[in-house]
Amino acid sequence: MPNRNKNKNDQQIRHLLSRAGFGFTPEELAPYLEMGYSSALDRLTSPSSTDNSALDKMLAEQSFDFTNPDDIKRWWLFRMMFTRRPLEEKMTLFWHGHFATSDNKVRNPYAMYVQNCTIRKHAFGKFDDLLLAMSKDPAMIEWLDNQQNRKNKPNENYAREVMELFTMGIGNYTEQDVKEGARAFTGWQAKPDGFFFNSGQHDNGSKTFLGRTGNFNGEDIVNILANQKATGHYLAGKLIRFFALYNPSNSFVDEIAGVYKKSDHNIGAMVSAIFSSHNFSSNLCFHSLIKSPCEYVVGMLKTFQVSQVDAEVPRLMAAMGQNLFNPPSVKGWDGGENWIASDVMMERFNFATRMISQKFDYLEKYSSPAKIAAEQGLSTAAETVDYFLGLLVENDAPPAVRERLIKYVSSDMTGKPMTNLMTNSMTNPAAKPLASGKLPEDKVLDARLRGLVHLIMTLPTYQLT
Amino acid sequence: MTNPSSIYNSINKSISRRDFLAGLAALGILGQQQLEAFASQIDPLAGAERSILVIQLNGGNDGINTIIPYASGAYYDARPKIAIKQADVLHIDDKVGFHPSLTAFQEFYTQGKLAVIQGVGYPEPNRSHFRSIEIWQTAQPEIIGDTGWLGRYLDHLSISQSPGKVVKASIEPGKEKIAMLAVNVDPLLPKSLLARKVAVPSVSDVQAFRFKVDPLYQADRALQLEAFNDIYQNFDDNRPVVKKLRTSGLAANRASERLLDLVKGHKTTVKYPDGKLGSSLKFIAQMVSGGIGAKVYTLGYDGFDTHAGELRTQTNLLAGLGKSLSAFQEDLKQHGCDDKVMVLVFSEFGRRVAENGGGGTDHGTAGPCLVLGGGVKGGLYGQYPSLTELDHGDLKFNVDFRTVYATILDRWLGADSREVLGKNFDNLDFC
Amino acid sequence: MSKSARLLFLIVCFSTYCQAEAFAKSRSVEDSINQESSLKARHSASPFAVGNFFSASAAAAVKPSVEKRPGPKDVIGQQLVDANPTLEQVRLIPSLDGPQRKQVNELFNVYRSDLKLLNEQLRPLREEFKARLKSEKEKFDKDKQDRDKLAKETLAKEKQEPIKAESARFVPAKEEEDAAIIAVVGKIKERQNQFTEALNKVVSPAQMLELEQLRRGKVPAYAQ
Repeated sequence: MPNRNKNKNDQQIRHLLSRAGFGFTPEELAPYLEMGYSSALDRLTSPSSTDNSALDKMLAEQSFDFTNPDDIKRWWLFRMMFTRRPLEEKMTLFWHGHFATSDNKVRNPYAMYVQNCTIRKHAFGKFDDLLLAMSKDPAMIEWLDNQQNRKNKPNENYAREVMELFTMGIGNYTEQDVKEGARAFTGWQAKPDGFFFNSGQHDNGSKTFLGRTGNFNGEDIVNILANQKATGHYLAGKLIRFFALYNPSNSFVDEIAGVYKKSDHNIGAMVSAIFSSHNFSSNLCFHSLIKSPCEYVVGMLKTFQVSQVDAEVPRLMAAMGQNLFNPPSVKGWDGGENWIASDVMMERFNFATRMISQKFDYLEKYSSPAKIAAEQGLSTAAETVDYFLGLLVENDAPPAVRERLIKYVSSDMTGKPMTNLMTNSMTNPAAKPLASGKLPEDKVLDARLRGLVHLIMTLPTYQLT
Repeated sequence: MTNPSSIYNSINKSISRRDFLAGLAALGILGQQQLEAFASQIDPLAGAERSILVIQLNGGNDGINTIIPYASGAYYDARPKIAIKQADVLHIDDKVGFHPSLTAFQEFYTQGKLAVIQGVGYPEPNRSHFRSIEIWQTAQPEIIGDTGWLGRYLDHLSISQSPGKVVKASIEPGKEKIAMLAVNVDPLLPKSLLARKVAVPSVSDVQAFRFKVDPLYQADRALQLEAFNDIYQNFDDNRPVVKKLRTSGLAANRASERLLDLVKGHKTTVKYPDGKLGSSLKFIAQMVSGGIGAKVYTLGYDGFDTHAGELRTQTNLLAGLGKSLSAFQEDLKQHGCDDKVMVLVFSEFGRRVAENGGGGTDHGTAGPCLVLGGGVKGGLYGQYPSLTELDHGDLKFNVDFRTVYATILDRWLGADSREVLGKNFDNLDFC
Repeated sequence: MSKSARLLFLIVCFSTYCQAEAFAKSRSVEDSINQESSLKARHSASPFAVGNFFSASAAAAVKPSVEKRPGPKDVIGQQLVDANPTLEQVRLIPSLDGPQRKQVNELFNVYRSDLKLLNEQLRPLREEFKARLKSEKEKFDKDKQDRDKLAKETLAKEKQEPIKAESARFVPAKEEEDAAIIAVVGKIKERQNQFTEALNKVVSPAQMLELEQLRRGKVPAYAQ
């Protein structure tokens, strides 16, 4: 039986790695376990300290067309699966949801790709740099109509959203601030080779913004906003809700807002502080967040070692409510309970079905449930259920569930209990179900194991991270 | 960290239907009487078959270019590029008319089935999409509410069922007719349907909304479903997030089987326009005529945030709206249900009077509401807001949106609007 | 050996064999060490196939890959695939100047409307073909039914074994051999080629290369 690491330190590391990434294989976990928690934390929160050339090599071997809207999604999924810097990708996803820009309107996959790279570049650095880069990003300019923001006819869209959604949050500014902010961003346009400052369209006059007066340009607005207390607070709350808890205490949020200030707006420092906090390591934090479709899908692909990202995955993720590069609005994805409205629950269940069905059996490295059971030498229903519960939900299930699953696994196709679980006749891909719908005996076990894994992946606790 | 599995008791017997219902009721998932109503073969809502379909135009529809004050000079002064030409406007009276795309609505208006409520809004308007949507959906401008107005209506409905109507029935488990109080036909549940007691399923594609198993092992489906239901019903865990997951999972399963049956049985000759709006309305027509008994349907229609390129965008969107609702009404008529559904069309705010530099308009305030269908007394209601006496460049409202809700609640749905909205609001006369 | 241990042994042997093959060419010390440690990893009863995610072994039998959506399945659809870039793609070329952009816009306008006309010629031909095919199949099926019926009746009357009916199979006509359809497809291909030439007169090879690099993922300096 594999060592399930009841050691508290190991559990903490698994918890950290879950939150810092998109699921993990045992090979991926092993080096972090060896390092111990604080080294693992350091490693994860400074991604540049980990060599990612293996990923770059893998990417170079694929052929993505970055002007194709489907390809950019597959590219990003590929990155999430194979990166050695999980937190870097997770932060990129966070910021993608924060500076939510949708290709639905931008209609330029290449620009969306460049925005994604820009985000990744600044994801862990100083927030001011990221905010400025986003204000000058061509996809963002197109998305929030700043291309049309001109001296004599200002367009307020960017100024409003930059305050409401990207920095301070609602209630910290007035309509007048929106108007004046819009004037400061006039002339900030995009050309095919990037940002272009159209001085002829820029309103050069004096503006009064958040109580300050001056001949402000967009850079000044960025500077003022990044230094607002409300910004540190707003970002702290969002980061905590994304990485740690849905309902953090005020003191936790204040603490992280304090790190924003002390570290001179350093995002990496904030994330590090969140993961180091006792709030993060408390019992209440374990399995307290609902997996986003990204985490759900990528985690499952990793668990079963599916080495070919199939063409349907981005679409299926979109059906679960997360269409990469196409957030539903500038507010991004609300997340949390919004991931589990009834029909998207069904999408999750059916994605799990797809994963354990015989569809992927042709892939040599795909580990079907039966293969796993054989390799683990599982020979009784109880052993099998225990193994998969440990693997998939870290045993987070009531005893009644374990009992019910054992009952399911040990019954034949009519529901009557089988007396022994066969372990050695499982992987015959040529055998097909009989026409009458009845299965030949050696396929019953295969069906049971696939069904078992499916049922575990539909458990409420499998939806949690 | 403690091992979570150490805190659960083991209940390992198959549960009778009574126990199941009692269990769910104890968890507060559904009111006890509501459940008994579900279990009975007599539809407790029979005789009160009315329902409401709420269509939210997402993004802030430009009301001024929808219900057009074509006789006003100020309109053309403020919008040199994007005003609709007088000759193109579809007249309602000598002052206002419809956008040229809305020929279907003009038709409804002539038949007396469409009420146009002008100048709808609320005090101290909020120009943020999200806050304004939230205000319309919770009907609570002063606080950040955590239930929706429709959710609260459903909650009250579930408690106020009079026990006398229910007949105790002996139904085999799995064979009961599932009545559904409300269906959201969008991927994400709008806040308007957030309730304390009722879990509303969101079903945007009924074919995908079905518990699937390995296609080569179809024989296993029944057993897996049984295991799934047993596990979910007995999942003894106090964490709020787990409770929500359970509710959602169970609701999903129950609803999916019922809806699939409905859709299979529906026949129509009406052709809906392509696209999500058309297919969603078709699905709603199937549910209405199939008799699932839902009181509330909700639907969103995206794309109205016309900061730029407004003319073309709005023309296309409104054309889609008109054609789809026209098909919808026709479909309902063919099945004898067109007087049973009232359709409310609204947007989270209107837009500014003056156009901006990009052939569009920015976020504004008041706008029109349109109410169509069963029980509607067609006509113009409220007053067209002045285009010259403005509030910082925006229209001043004269009809509080909660009066629109109150009218629908009191006069159409037979509910108590005061309970749902928290205080008394006047009724308008459109119904 | 127990059955499961035997299985495990077999897996190990097979994987070792694969790996040995891969490393046959380069027998560096490093590779030997890699082999050693991956063998070790396999022996440690890890459930997952070694050689994929973050393992010590460099030889993965299946390289991670991304499946693309397949193109059109029918022969005509495949022939019609346009290798020319789209206007949206050409617009991305950073060094395209104002006059070039104007010319490109005009070129595409004409090209698109020409293609529209040609496709409007092609569509009814294909629909007609499909309808013909359908009715031919129906006729064939009906004929077969009649023949079989007749054979049965003959058997009943004459109490003889009927001559075994020729097991005729329906051979559907092929779209790509239909003269009318081929003609229009030819015109479309010709127009596509004309456009390629015209575009290359406006956009230089170096600029087309810029586009190619963008499509392959080249990112401007500010985003690196």
